[in-house]
Amino acid sequence: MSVGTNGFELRKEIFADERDDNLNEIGKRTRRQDIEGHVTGRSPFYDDHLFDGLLHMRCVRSPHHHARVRRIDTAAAERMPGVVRIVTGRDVPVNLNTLLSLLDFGLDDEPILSEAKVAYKGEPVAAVIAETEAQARAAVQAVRVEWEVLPHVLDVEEALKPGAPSVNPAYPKNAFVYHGKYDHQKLRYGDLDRALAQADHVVEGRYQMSPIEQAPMETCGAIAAQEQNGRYVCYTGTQALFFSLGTASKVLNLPSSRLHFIGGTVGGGFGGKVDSVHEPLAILGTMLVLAGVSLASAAGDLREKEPTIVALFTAACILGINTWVGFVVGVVVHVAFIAGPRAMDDE
Amino acid sequence: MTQVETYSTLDEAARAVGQGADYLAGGTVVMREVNAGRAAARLVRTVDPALRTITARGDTITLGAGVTLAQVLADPQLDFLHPVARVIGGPQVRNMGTVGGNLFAAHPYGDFAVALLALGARIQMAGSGGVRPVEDVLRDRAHPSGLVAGIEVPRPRPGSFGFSKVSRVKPKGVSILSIAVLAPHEGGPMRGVRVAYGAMGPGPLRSAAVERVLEGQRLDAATRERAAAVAAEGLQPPTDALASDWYRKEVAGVHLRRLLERMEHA
Amino acid sequence: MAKIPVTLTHNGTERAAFADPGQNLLEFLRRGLGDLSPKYGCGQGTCGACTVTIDGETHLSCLVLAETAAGRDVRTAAGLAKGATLDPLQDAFMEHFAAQCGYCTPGMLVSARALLDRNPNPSREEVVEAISGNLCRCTGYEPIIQAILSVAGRRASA
Repeated sequence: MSVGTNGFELRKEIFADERDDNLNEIGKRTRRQDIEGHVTGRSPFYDDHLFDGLLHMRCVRSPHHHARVRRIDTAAAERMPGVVRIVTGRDVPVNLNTLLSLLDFGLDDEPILSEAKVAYKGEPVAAVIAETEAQARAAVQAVRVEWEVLPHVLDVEEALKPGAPSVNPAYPKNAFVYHGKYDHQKLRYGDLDRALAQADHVVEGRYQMSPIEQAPMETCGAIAAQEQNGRYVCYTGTQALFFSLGTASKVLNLPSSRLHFIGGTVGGGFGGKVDSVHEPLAILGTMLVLAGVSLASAAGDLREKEPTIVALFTAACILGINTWVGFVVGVVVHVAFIAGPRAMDDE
Repeated sequence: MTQVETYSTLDEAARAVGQGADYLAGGTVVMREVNAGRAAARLVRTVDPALRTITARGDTITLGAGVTLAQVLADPQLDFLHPVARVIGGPQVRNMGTVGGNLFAAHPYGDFAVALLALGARIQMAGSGGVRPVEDVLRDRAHPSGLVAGIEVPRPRPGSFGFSKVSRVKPKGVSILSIAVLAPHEGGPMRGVRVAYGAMGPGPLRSAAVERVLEGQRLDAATRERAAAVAAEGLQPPTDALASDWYRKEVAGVHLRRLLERMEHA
Repeated sequence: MAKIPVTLTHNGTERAAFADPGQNLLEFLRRGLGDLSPKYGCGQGTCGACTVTIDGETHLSCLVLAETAAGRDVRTAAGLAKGATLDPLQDAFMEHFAAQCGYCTPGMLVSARALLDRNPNPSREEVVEAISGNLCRCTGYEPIIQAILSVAGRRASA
């Protein structure tokens, strides 16, 4: 143990066998350990993996801020060239999620693919899987959704007024619920009233931020494929590999031992790739496309012919979605953070 | 799936387009639609070398419709168009985008077309389409009558042409609005004034109000003020992700005044 | 869907593959030829992550129809290094922290290389204009500008 200045103790006996005390890095130029891959173009972002027979998945998204979903008609889209499968909320094993639940905090409030209602412009209600990205995008436009448009609210203070449209059924008063029953939390240090009374000047202000869009150069996305022994591999650009694995496990009702997540190379995240749901969607797409084939191969006399078809379909599903924006985080003078229509609102 | 047909001459391409296909020039607009799965089922293009030529005869310079913005920048006889071409897209877009294609680039693009409108360009159509004033081609661009073969640009007198692109991001940024002014003056009052805007309406358009104020006047501070006061008169600018109609109306006069002041002191 | 055979020169080597009708050059390079260095950032020609050169001039490969590149000389970031020897720009980017997430980097390098090939001693304004078609969300551009200027300076004194 050695005693430094200002009363700090340096407990150098801890981890002494694992630590190099001769480090001399301050003031030295050090190269980023990943920069050689970046300048040679070899850093393996999620999309930098080649698969034979790769399929592409694009979402059908709400054009309305707030609406009920009356009907989703996929008939025309299903007939379009290259379309393999269209996925809706019914296909999702556990279609209500929040990242917060992995931390035992907050309520599940976000469908992976919304079935009853959408609460923001751009909320996905279906996903099209096709042979090329352009075919998937074209088929997305052919999906007919009957919307019942509902009143919406775009301003934080308007949303908190009585009578404002209730956007999120899990949080009916448009405010987060702390510990199951409280609509706000106060952190107090010291005697606020006395301090204000004693102050020479009290400054009050109203400050407002602009909406934030992380907009990394690499959009959100994932590639999923079947691996051996009943596992799925998923290449993803998530910032939080274990969060994403946990979410996929929960949403797909799969033990995490059946998921093999490969990531760590992120083309910019800035927080926007922390609570992604691309991975479960891509894996679900893979599962559903394969399920179509394995149902056919259950018929004994088709078994001989199946291997080639299975090989074609043992392909990956790639999900590429542009980063979706987090809504205004408002800071009210009395310090209440307010976020979007969902508790975790950047996807 | 989008099928692409390539023809050796423009006239062949023009005949093929007549039967319900989209025309692909530089790709900076149409390929976005192809990538998005929204393009027409057929795309027609040509490799006709005549489209890339630039010829000068007297006071008129004719640009083939396939001349790229980079080619414009590289040609010294098009110096009056350099301030326009330089602020369109980035270097890659300028290597690809064509002067013909820019005529059909929807809001908020089409800054080169704004300049051509102020300059009084005339459009040579393919086949027997003849030569038409650029405003006719711009007016009909939702339903074009044929393919553009070339653009005849009257060379402006030195100091009579000015252009301003208003964007938040520089040097490469999309226009909030753009302004082109042709004000020939020969040292005296301005005659034959043409003022064109981009992003102040559904497409490039002229400002009759500003032209009336400038016509017959000298370009001095008082004239500039009067012009700025009517800068947005009669216009219904769009509201979009870049700016609201209110904002465009508010700043149009400011930027017009600055452009006219630059032209006066040039 | 009839595929189109496309033969072109890729980083100095003649290569061929089949393109789908309407397929863009970015997809053709990545999935047809296996060159993963140009990146998909937007598919709309606004970000520049897909920048390649065709016959020495920078292009947005996501907006180039693959079949129009037939017979032409296409170069990507993967072609900058000669074997184990990196391009001076690649070294300079590493020295100057001109990459963080690395996603814009291949496109940036191609634009920088095209600039120095045509103008070995650019001014700062010329560097800024040359990379103005390549967006970066991490570095704030300054380290990239410095990296490019450092290579330009070196060449000027050589």
